[in-house]
Amino acid sequence: MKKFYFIWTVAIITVIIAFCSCSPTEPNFDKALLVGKWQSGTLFEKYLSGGSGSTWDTADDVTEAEAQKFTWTLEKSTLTQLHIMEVGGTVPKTYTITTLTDSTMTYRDDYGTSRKFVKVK
Amino acid sequence: MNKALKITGITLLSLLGVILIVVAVAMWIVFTPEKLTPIVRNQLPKFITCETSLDNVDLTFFSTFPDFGLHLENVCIKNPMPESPSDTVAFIEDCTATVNLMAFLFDDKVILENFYLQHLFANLYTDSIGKSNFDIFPPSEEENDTTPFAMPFDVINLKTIKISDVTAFYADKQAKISVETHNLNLNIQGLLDNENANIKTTLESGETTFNMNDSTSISAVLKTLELNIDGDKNGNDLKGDLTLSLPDISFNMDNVDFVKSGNVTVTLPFFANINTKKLILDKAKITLNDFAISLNGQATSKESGDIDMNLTFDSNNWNIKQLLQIVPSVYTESLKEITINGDALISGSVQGIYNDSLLPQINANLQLSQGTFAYKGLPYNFRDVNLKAAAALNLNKNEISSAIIQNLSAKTGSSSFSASGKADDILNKILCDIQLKASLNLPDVKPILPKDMHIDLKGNTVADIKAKFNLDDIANLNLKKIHANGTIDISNLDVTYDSLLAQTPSAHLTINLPSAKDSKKFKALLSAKLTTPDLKVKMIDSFDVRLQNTDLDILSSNFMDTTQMLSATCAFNIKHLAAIMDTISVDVTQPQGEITLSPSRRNPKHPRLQCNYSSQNLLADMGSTLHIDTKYIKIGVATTYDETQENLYLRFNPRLNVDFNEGNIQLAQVKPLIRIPAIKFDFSPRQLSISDSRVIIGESDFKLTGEATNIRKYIKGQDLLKGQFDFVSEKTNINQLMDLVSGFGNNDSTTVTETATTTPAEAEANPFMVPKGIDVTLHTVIKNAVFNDNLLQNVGGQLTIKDGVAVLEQMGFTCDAAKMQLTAIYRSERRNHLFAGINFHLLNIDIKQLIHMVPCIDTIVPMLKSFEGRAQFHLSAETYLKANYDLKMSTLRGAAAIEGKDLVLMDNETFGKIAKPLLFSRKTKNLVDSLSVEMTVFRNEVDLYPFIISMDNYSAVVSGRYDLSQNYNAHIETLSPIRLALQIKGNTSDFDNMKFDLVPTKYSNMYKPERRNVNQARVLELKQLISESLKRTVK
Repeated sequence: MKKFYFIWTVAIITVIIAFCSCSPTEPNFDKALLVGKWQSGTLFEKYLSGGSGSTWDTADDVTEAEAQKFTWTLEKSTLTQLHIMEVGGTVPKTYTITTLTDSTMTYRDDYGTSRKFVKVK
Repeated sequence: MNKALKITGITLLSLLGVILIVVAVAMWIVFTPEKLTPIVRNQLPKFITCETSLDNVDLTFFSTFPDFGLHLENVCIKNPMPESPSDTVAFIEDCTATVNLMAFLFDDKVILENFYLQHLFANLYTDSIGKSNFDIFPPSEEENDTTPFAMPFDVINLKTIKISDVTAFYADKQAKISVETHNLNLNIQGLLDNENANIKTTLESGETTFNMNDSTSISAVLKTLELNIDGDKNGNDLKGDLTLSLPDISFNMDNVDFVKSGNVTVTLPFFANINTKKLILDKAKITLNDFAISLNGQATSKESGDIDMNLTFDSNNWNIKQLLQIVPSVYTESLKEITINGDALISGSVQGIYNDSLLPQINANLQLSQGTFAYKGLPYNFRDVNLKAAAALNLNKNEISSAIIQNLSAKTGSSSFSASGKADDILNKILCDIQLKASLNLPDVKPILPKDMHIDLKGNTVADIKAKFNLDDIANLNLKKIHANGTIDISNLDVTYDSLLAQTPSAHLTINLPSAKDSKKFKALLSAKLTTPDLKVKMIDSFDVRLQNTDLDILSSNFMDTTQMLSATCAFNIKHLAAIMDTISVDVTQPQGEITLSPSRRNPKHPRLQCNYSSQNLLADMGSTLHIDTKYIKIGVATTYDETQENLYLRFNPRLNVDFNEGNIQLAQVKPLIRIPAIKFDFSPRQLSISDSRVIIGESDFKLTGEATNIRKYIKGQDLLKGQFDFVSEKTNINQLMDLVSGFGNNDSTTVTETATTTPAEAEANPFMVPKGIDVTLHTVIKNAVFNDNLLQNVGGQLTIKDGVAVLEQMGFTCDAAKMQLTAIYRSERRNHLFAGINFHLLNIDIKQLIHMVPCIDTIVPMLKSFEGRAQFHLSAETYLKANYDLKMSTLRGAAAIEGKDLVLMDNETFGKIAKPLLFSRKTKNLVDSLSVEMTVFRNEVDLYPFIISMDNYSAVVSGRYDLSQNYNAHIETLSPIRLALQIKGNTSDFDNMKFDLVPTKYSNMYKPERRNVNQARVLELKQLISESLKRTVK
């Protein structure tokens, strides 16, 4: 009997949460603002206008010349990076941009981890 | 009778009385000096054109009885000339000549019998224009008087000629000759007529000088002279003895004293025939001081003008030291630094014709005994110098003279030398054929070595050398024309030179010039062979070599020919060689081979060095760093030196071919022993061909064959080194092999960028650096391979190493867990930035074995350990590594897909925690119908894309994220029979504190295409993208 109540309680709560979680309208960010070199601590990301980019982390003794390449798309606020590996296989990463100006950018992933970048030359 | 005698006596006495009366009347009344002197004085101008004077002329009879004599006193002839030392040409104080009275009276013949002359002064002078003061006779009335000269006497029948106290001067200014003699006495006793003679002659003089100052200045001084001639003339035969004594003679020519106060004697017994013009000498002897030469033989003057000579000569015992003392110093100048002594005997003969164009042949024998010899520049004093030699001298044109050294021997110190042989054409080319023998005590060599050469020599050498050469060729070292063969035996050699020591009980060296052998590669000029049973060579604190039963055969081209490069070979055959140098030791049994130096065929200006070597056993150690031992080994090495090349490899152009069996190599840095049952390869400047190589390294055994090409271009930096090799192995330990080849070709110049960020551990690490500049493909067929303690079977594929990148390309293999396919890339861009990527397909995988084989999978997909069964596993991952192989997490990328059916989900603590809130029924083994998982790794994050698990009546979606530190954020959502969602958070290492919370569902519509939203659609697209990109590389 307790198991039954528990299930129903969870179900009701789930339904309430589901109805209460209507997402707001998704913002539309300018791709041109994304183009450039961004820095977050020792992590760098560089977006080129053709849809290619690269990333490196100087904390791991990696220079810009040794940066790993990716391709990127920006649909409204959804930033998708496709990291195509040399040996075959693709690693997709999707982020939701929350802030994008000519100097700062903030995105977060599906698990709520956000990262703030500043544009550098 | 008595009466007759009486009458006869009276008659004779009467006749004698008459004669005496007549003579007395003639002498004292008719031919008195007062009458004769004016007559003669008046007649003199008819015969002498200059001034003459005469004191007295008279006839003698009683004082010269029984002959008549004519006696002159104080006859003086004067003919003054300027510069003449005297106006007198001649002055005779007293002169008497007698004639036979009876022949004069009864036969009307004038027969001259005695001649006496006392106190003669003569002064013969010729001035510079040839005018003489003794040109005093009137010219002939008939200029062309052709009547032969006639004696003023009918017959000369001399019994005595006595001339005493002569002083004479002769000077010829034109010829620049002057002669002066004093106190000259001549006494001739005997009979002398026109046919026969029997005389004894004595000539003595006081000091006599001779000077000539023409182009050659000559002066001679005889303090005294004594000449005795005792001879007979019988018709045409002359026989007698001549002795000449010059006890104090000096002779100078061109200011060189050839004889100074010398004592010269000549004893000349002779026989001559005037008709045949033959002179015979019997024991004639010429002596200068103590040096005498005896002459025997004859000389005949032919009508043609030839002189036929047949003479022998021999000397007494000449002391060389004394002899050199009387030799003019100008000729001993070159001997100034030579000290020589000994006794010499010279003998020989002169035979043949002498004329204007021919010279007789001279045969001479020289015998030197008990000689000593020393030369200032030679630190040796030779003793017991003995020489026996002969020479045949033919001084005529185109004739050959020769000399024979029957024996020449000498000793110095404890060494001795001897020589024999002959020399032909000694006056021209001097063709020698000699044999030299020497017994040399090696310590005796030390004095000729440089003083600063600290060498200690012990031992003996016996040399026997035969040589044929001409002197010009020796002087010019024209080896092509010199023939020499010799042997040198060395015994008990013990040499210490500085820190170098050499010892051998014996050695035998044979030298042949020209070479006794031919070389296939060049024209050999010289050959030598050295054999020694035991040779030790040691350098203190450096090396120690011992050679046993060594044979060296050496051939050489003409090393004196500077127009051609030297060619030489050295063939060696050694029974045993042992060498130690520092920590390196070598022990070789039966090493043999040949080293050849010759000009390159392609370019004769480039020297080519070639070595063929083989040995039965070789054992080498380099401390604890390297150990090598082999059985049979055969190595060929060749190098052509091109000095125009800057690169060392191109400069030497090495070639190498190796064939050896049963070798073992132990490297300190590579722990496993490298065993080589066989290896055979050829290396040339352009390529390496390995036709056979079987190697066992630790747990690995393999056969490596193939070719590496493009080596020359690779060295020049024009292209990559290319190679195609087949690697066939029963078992290979991959980790050990990687250790072996790590770092080849890398010069890590990038360390500067690492210093700022590398840790000490990274700095000390020694990662595997992929060789650069090469493009090598290794086709592998490995039956069993061990990698990270995992056994892989039937490994087939190819490993490509190309310019710093190692690619393991679609390597297929099987193991206990699965059939596998692996593509891997390893790139060592720099020491602290190593790229590693794998594309790994495990088909029909046993999940437990997989986790054992690839432990990192448990880190990336921890939930796999909850499953049992077989699945398909696809994994691609790449990352950069630090020098110590630590991951650079910021570069980690990965994607994996797992597909399985009929799996078993194990009941464990985690499952228990999940099952309870989601109302799962717990069983020990929960069957999972199907499973399709896609996940990605990005940096430290693992994203598990939503997948469905169907188990019994339950169907659930699982997704989540976790990091490699095992921090989880998972979402499990049931689709049936009820809809529930559970969030799991926390770290598995702290399982009790992990949170398991019910959360709202979010995948309700994902699997309902008509109802799924944009995000859900995108997630499924990404899942498909991940899965397809992974499976695309499955073969």
